[in-house]
Parts: sequence; C-alpha cells; structure tokens
Amino acid sequence: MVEKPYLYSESSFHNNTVGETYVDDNRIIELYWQRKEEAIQETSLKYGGLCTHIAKNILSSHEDCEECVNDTYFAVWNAIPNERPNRFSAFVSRIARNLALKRYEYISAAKRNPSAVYSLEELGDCVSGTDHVESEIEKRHIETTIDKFLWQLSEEKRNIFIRRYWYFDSIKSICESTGFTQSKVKSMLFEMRQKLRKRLESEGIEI
Amino acid sequence: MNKKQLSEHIGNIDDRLVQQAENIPNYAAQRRQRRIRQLLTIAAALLLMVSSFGAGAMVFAREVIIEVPAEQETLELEGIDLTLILPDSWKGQYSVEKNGANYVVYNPQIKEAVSDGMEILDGGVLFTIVCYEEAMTEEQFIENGLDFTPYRYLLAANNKTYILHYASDVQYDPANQEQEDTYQKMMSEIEDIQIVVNNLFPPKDIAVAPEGLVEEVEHIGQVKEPENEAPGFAIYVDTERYYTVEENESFYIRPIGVDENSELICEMEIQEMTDISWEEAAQAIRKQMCAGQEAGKWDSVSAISHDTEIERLYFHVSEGTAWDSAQEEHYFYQMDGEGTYHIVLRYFLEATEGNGMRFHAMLDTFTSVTAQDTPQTIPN
Repeated sequence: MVEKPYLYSESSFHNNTVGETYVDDNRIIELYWQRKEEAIQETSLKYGGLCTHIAKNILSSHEDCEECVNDTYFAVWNAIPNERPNRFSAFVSRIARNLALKRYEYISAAKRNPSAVYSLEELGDCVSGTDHVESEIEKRHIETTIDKFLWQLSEEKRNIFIRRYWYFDSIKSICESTGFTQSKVKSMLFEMRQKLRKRLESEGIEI
Repeated sequence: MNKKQLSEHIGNIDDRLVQQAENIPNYAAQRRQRRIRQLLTIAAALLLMVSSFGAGAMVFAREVIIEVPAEQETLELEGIDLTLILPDSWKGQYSVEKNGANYVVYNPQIKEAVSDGMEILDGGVLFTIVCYEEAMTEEQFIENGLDFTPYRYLLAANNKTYILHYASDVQYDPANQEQEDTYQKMMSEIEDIQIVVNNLFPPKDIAVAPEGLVEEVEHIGQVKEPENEAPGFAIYVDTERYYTVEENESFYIRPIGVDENSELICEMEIQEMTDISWEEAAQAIRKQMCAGQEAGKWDSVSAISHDTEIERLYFHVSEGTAWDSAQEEHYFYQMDGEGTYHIVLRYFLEATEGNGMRFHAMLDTFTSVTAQDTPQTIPN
C-alpha cells in the first residue's frame, strides 16, 4: 500500500518531506478508475514536483508551468479509465512533457526556457532539418531504433542523454547531478548525437 | 526529419528508460570510489596475468609485478578506457586536452610562455596519445611508417591502436634555462608512467546457433565490479538484441523490444548468494522448485548435475510440453571465497532454439571477477 519514503532533497522531484509516505502507484490508478478526485491529490503529492520540474525546463513563465501541470492532472484523469499504465511516473511525466512542448510552440521566445531551446538546437546535429511527413510505420521504426540505440549505451551515457533530451535538463543541472564537468557532459552528448545520427542513417531512416 | 520531430520521437521512448533516468546518481563520485578501491587493492603488488584483446587484437603474454602506491597522480582518458599513473612530481604541472580521438598532455606554464595559445600542439607538449583507426601490431605500425617520432606502443584493441607519441619539436624557450630544465625533467619521466587498461573485456564476436544456423554475433563485455570483499562478475551480452538492468539486487538480461507485460517471460537472471556454497544453494533452490511441482506449478524438476567442462551445477525445471510452457534452467557457479552465483535462464518452450540458444552463448562467457583481475597495466 505504501512505498518507502524518499528523503526530500533539491535533486528529488518528489514533493514530500522527511517521514511522509506515498500512496502506491497501483492504488492511485485504482482511484482514477473509481473516478475519485483523491487520485489527483495523490498524483500531485507524489509527482507534482516531477511534472513541475519538466514544465519549468521547457517554459520559463511560472504561470505557464502551473497551468501545464494542472492540465497534466486533468489529462491523466481523462486518460486513465481507458489505460492502466505500468509505469505511472513515466506516464504522468510524458503527458507533462507533451503539454509543455505544445505550449512551447505557441508562446513567444521570451517565455521559452533557454535550456529547452538549446536542447532542441543540439538535436539539429542528428537530423537534416528537412520537413518530411512520416507515416505511422516510419514513426514506429524511428522510435524502435532510438530505443535500441539508448539501451545499447552505458547506463551513465543513456541517462545523461535522456536527462538532456527527454527531461530538457540544462547542462549545469546534469553536471550537478552527475558530478561531471561541463566539458565532459558536452563531449558525451556530442558523441551520442553523432552516434545517433549514424544509427538512424544506417537504419535507412530519412534524416 | 527536423529537430522537433526527433524530439517528439525521443519523447516516445520506452517508459523504462524514462523511469530509470528519473533520479540519477553522482557518477563521478561513484567512479572515484571505484578507483580508490582498485588502487588500494593493488597497493602492495599487482600480479598481471596473460590477457588477450579480442578478435584481431594483440596479446600481452607477459607476467609483470609492479608496485603502485595507493595515492597517485592519475589521469583517466575517457572513451579509450586507459588510466595513466603519472609521477607525483607532475602534480599541477600538466594539463590534458582532447583533440579529436587523441589526447595531448602538456605543461601549461611552458605552453603559456611560448605559444600564442591558438594551436594545441605549439608549445609545452610532452606527449600525445594517438588513436589509430586500425588494429596494428608494433611491427605493422613500423611497416606503415607511423614511427615518425619517438613513441611507446600501448595496445591494439577493438580495431584501434593506441600509441604514445613523444613531442618531436622543441616545445620550450631554449633561452630560458629554468623552462628547459623543467621540460627535460618531465620528458625523462614519461617512461615511468604506468598505463592501466581499465577494460578487460573488450567486444568480441561469438558463434551463436539460433534455430540451428550458426552466426557470428558481436557481444559486449558487461562487468559488475568487485565490491568490498565480494567478487564481481563479467558476462558478454549481445547488446543488439538484449539489454541489461539491475533490479532487486539481481542483474537481468532481457530481450529488447519485447512487451514487458507479456506472460511469456524470456530473461537471464544473475543473483549473488553470499555465504552459501554452490551445493547448498543448488539443493535449496531445487527444494523450492520441488515444492512448486507438488503445488502443480511445475511439471518436472530434474536432478542436479555437475558440468565439469565449465565447472558448474545445474538443473532444469519445466512447466510442460505446450509451446508456451515456461522453462527454467538453474546454474550455480562457485564464487571466489564463500558464495555462489545463481543464474537462471527463463524462457518458454518455443523460444528454446532462439532466446534459449542466445542465452546459452552469453552464459558460457560468464566469469567471476576479483579485484586482482582489474585493472591491468601495460608494461613499459
């Protein structure tokens, strides 16, 4: 029913303080299935910090972040009766990421977090930049290729890549978490982008 | 594709990847701890054994005993898995710059005094570690005319050759006696630098015969390093098809891209059982399986056999003969010291010739790793 408590720290995305416990993910999902609003409270308590962290990495305005996180809860509320996610934290954070990126599209440049802007710019190394409409089959192939590519990296590199391009963490924040220097993180990311480009090309994907 | 599309694709990666990256540890601190442990372990003496460096690579068949003080000025070169143990007197007197795949080691004070800082190789350079994109013996290296400067042959591995090239031009101001003395002293100490190979398990091609068809598949060495008194282990994994993950103190190898919710489980689990001998461990696990058989979970549980070729105990458990019936093979390897590695291959009957065969190819590479096995040092 309850999971072991996480100690609160700056690097922790969770909201609770020392000694508090979280409701188990399965229980939260059950609450969504039962259409109990308590589900949103528990989600907010357990994953509000994580969602806010992602939204803040993408959007610089506090109001935008707050709206994005609230929209996330409602999106989860609407999505769950049809789904039973296995990894609830990833499910919730993916929704937060998608909603923040949607908002990122139509807000002014000043309201975009530079970390996300640079992160997206860096991804330009892996692709040609041409607009190409992808079929569902192509999309699946690309995503499977990226999955395989990431699984084949060492855990260190894989997590740094994901922190930068999935969570949109700044280089500085990655350095603080990993203890690596900026030049090291930058060179690791550069090397992985080059490798990803090569892998996509070798799989016959139109980059 | 544009970068926005790529970012969307990255957004759809496997949930497990996203979750794993949720909280990342301080890798630098972990590395430092590992390095300190290794250096302490080899502080007295390190017996180096014969080592080979995979397909097409060279063999260092020399037995050398070196002494490595516990506290040393060390320099780790990322990407090429080499650590340089430098003379203590170099502390504060050297810098390293990565130049493509190569590393340039120089004296920053001399460099600042004699160069305009525009070129990496224009002053104070002591040596460069050059990575050639081809595996060469020292003879081949000379035949190819690459010995154009004084050098020290390091190693060839994974289709690459690493050479330490000494600086050839005058790298200091000849009019400055103090500079010249410092530089010459450091140059004379280069031959004392110990070079340690961190990666004992470079990739290698292994013959696998899934569905009866033999194929050569590249496998990557995965190492769980020794911790405290407990030894670690190494196993070669076909990382094109499988990923590795640590869960609940066990190490798992699972197929990539398989639905994790599928009831058809395919995985290899490696579990360390300390303070129990392999016979006791095998008997205890088999007893559990027999209890499962009595409860109707398993159809058969074989007797324990002793495989003398690889020196391990094993038994097999089967749920039945239907195509999707679960099969488990339990293997028990002796740890160095008191303890056992319990390795379970889990798959369903129809996967015997596919995943089953591939698991066996990986399992046959399993080896215990002790602190004495790592790191290795290249003789001067």
